[in-house]
Amino acid sequence: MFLDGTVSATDGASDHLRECSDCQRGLRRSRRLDAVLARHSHTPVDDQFAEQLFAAALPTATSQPRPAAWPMAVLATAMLVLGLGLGLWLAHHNRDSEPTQVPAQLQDTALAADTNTMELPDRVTRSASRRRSTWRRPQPRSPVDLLGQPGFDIGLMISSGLAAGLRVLSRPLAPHLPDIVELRQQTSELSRLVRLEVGLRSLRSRRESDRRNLLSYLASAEEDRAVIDLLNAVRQDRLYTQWLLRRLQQRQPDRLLVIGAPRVGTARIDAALQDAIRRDTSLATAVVDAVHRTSKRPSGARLLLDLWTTLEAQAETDPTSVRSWFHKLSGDATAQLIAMARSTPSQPERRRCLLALAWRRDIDALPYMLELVNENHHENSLAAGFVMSQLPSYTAASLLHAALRKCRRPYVVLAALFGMRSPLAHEYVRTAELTREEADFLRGGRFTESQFSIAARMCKRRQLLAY
Amino acid sequence: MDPDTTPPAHVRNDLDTPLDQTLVERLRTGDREAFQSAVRPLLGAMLSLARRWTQDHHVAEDLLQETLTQAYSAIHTYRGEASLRTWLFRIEMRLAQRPSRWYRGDRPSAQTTRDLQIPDQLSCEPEQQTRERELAERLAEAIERLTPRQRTALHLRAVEGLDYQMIAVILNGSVAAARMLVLAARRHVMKRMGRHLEP
Repeated sequence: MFLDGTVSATDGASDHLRECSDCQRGLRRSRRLDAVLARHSHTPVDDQFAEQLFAAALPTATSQPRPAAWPMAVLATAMLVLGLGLGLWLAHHNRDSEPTQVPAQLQDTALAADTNTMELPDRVTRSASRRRSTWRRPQPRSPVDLLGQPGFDIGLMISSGLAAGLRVLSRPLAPHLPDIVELRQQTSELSRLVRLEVGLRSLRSRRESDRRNLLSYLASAEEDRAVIDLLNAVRQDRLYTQWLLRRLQQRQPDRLLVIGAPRVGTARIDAALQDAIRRDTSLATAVVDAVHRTSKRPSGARLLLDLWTTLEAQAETDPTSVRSWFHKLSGDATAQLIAMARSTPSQPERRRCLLALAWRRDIDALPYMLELVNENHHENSLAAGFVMSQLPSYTAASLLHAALRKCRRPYVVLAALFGMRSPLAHEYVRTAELTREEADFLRGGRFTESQFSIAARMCKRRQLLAY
Repeated sequence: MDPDTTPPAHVRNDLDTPLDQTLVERLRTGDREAFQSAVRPLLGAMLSLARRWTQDHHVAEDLLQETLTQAYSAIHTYRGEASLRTWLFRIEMRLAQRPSRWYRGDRPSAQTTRDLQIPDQLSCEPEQQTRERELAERLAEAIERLTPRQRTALHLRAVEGLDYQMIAVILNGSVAAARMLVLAARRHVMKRMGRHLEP
């Protein structure tokens, strides 16, 4: 109370405070609490956020704030009556009038989900007859549903009335297109419009339909510069990623979510995806495909490694498919995997990283592998040798040959040279005391992981050469 | 001086500077630019208050957006007698107490809340930084255990420097209740923070 000024100095509180150390301490603590609270409650609002906020919260400049309730009600009623009258008059008038022509601005506001499908805006007629078309709005379908259909081309998407939001609807287009609208703009231009619309409006929208439409687009769009920008924006938009997260945490996330969310690539979404896959392992393939389609996604290799661990724990691993996972990953995955192998304290995880590197067959991994060969850990050294044996021989063989004599474990490097079936390894076989079977085994190359260990042991035991 | 009007020393009072009558008139006519220029300096305080009530940054942003929408639609009723900040806080708190009108998601977890309470950038010195971080964590933990009204009352008093009368108006209660809310909140937080409040 003293702190708040409720007890004044004349009440004797000040005198008491001067003498009582407990009260002094209490007052100091209270003041410090207020100061700490003020310091840690500061929430800066940057200009960009403020602009977005005003744009989302305030109506457009043309509309005015509501003046009062009753004039609005009267106005609304009058408008309704007028609208009904006008509608009836138009319905009667249109029977004998010319068909409505597609206005120029509407010609690029229909949304086509593929080359055979298209949604028509309300005011578009579908034939040159004098009768107005009785076009029915088609059932909504996401572009993902269309993936299996022949001739699918998601590139042709046209934004549908910016104010109404993106709509992803489909309808057979071919029978109607010639009569309806001349598509004057090229596909790429139309796609750009859609992206622009998605990027500008939907991210901060709290409408379920907007969020879902954006997800449809994320799930289906082919990666290019604009889509990369959009994904970056989505990644930084906490509101939207939070929404994705909440949906992923549902017991059975739908397929669209499982295809769209992995392209975003935040740590929390990835963790939620892992949980979803633990519950239903059949989702793994869709997630992996989505990661492959997004080259600029951060931590793609991390997600796939975790996924592999999950599937291995549930005995659901298919070695053939896992091999292709890492081979198809984008360029910087090698650096990601090397960083993970360096930093992890877990030996099984390091082994997974090294196997993944072996399947990538990327020459960029060579310096780190040579480092590992020289390290104390023998198993890591063998694993690194196996990775080297999988590298393309036309670039790696000469480098390995040069490293052979400087290496702490030359037999590992030699086994790697045999593994890639490089002729550079053959000179060592000639000088070795090997049985015919052993020589054939080494020359045969193309070792599996376990065969590589045998080959390395063989090279070591026989002391093929004074390296 | 009335004791209830004495703010703590560290708070900003410039946010309560009365608006000039021309600006108030422009606001009342629904001038969008005037609204933005008047509200822009208050956004930080509004967001911070929303965060204190909701304990979640994203939900707080939603609340802030809804508050601005409501405030703009009702701006013709603002007469310029009360400070704009108090007027906006009042709308914000009324909306916050009726979340079903603007919020449809799940409640945030405690962990999320705690993470968000810690500022990203603290002191440059590592030792000081560690101490500050620990302090912030304890503070967030202690505040999390308060009721929404208690933590909001404490925020309005300690951070915004409002008097109890204003706090009572914003929280739609009596002055005595506001005072008790702040007192209880302070006691609870000081108890939870223990030695961390020692200089």
